[in-house]
Amino acid sequence: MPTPRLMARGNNMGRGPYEKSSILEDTGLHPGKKVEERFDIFFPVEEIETDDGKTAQVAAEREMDVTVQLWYKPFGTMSGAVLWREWQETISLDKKSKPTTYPSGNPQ
Amino acid sequence: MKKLTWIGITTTALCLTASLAFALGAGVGRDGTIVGKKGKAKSLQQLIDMYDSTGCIDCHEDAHNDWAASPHARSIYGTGRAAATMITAMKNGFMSWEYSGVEKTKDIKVEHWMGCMKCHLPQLADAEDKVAVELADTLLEWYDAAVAAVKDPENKKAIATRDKHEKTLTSLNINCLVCHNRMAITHKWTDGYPQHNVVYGLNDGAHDDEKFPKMKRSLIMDESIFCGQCHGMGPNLELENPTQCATAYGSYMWAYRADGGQESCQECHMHKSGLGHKILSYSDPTMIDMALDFKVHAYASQWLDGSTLRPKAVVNVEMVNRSGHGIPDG
Repeated sequence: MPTPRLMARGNNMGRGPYEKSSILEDTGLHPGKKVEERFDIFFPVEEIETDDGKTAQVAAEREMDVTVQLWYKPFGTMSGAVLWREWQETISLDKKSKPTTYPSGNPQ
Repeated sequence: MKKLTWIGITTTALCLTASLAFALGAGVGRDGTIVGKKGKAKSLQQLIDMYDSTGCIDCHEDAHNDWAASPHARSIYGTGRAAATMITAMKNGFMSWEYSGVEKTKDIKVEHWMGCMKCHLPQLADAEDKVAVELADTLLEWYDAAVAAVKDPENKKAIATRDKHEKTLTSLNINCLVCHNRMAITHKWTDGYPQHNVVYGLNDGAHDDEKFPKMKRSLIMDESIFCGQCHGMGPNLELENPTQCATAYGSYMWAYRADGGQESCQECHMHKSGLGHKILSYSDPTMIDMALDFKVHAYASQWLDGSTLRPKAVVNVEMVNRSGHGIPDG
């Protein structure tokens, strides 16, 4: 979103219209410009003891329900916020995966 | 003695003529505007009456109903939050600034309010300074009564005061006459000043109304600059103490038109959306659909290094703003 600049000087944000006269930066969406956001969401892992007495990590969960929501926040908070878009999908570690011979990773 | 008296009267008359011309400013036809004919409002009620648009309802009921559901119908009150913000702008703004000349509400002049009212109530410029004081007092009394009514829902006096002032504040708005008369011409030295007996729209002709018997084409009514008068370009540098609310028209010009965008504000917010005089934006489902392309794709990935595993979901979100200005904006 556009971050207004306090009295058009320095690097502090102004909040009220009466104290804003410039823009510090703008992370909003601009006309016709593609914006891509990447999120890496980690599965929880746990350590197990392998047959040879060593330890290895495995995923504690095999599936993750991911919800992406795009909110319009007219006042920068959830007060009066409007949900614009929502996407949901279950991401599975097993989808498209093949068993591995490594001591960690997918179950044999 | 007689000669001296005549000189005195002539001098007085010249002074009055000069002060009237000064008050109206430069330009031919200013004296034919609504404020030119009626004179400046001396109270909030006079200002409400000066731009009273209830006479439009009979023939333009659909447009009126659309407008009544729009933010323009409560431009200084909003949901109450806008009115509270006006108070903040007053207290934290010009009442706290050393050189504004305002210590108490009685010191407030129309000029002090224009940081807000340039857009939220542009017709305030057609009122005397004592109306600026009345507006400040009304806002403060409304707020105190609203807070008291929340604390004690049985407080009838507070409820009555709150409701009375809310009625006044919601009657001060951007209505038919503000758009279709007062703000209908941007280039006044080129196209003339909006006249008191004319409604400006998309056609010329007669208009079946006693007060407004003429209808004239406004050359900007279907152009984005019409909306840009308020949904502006950023800092209002013409003010003694610049303010900044809306930057949509600036973004429209420099990020949309500059890249070949061709549509106007009215085409999206009124016509294609079917919103007519509701002219809504971020809260309307149709506008939300039109505003954005939104795609998500996700996959699983397992990063493995020796005995360390980092399984993760990778989520890619792709968005393209299809509107004619930055989002968010106002």
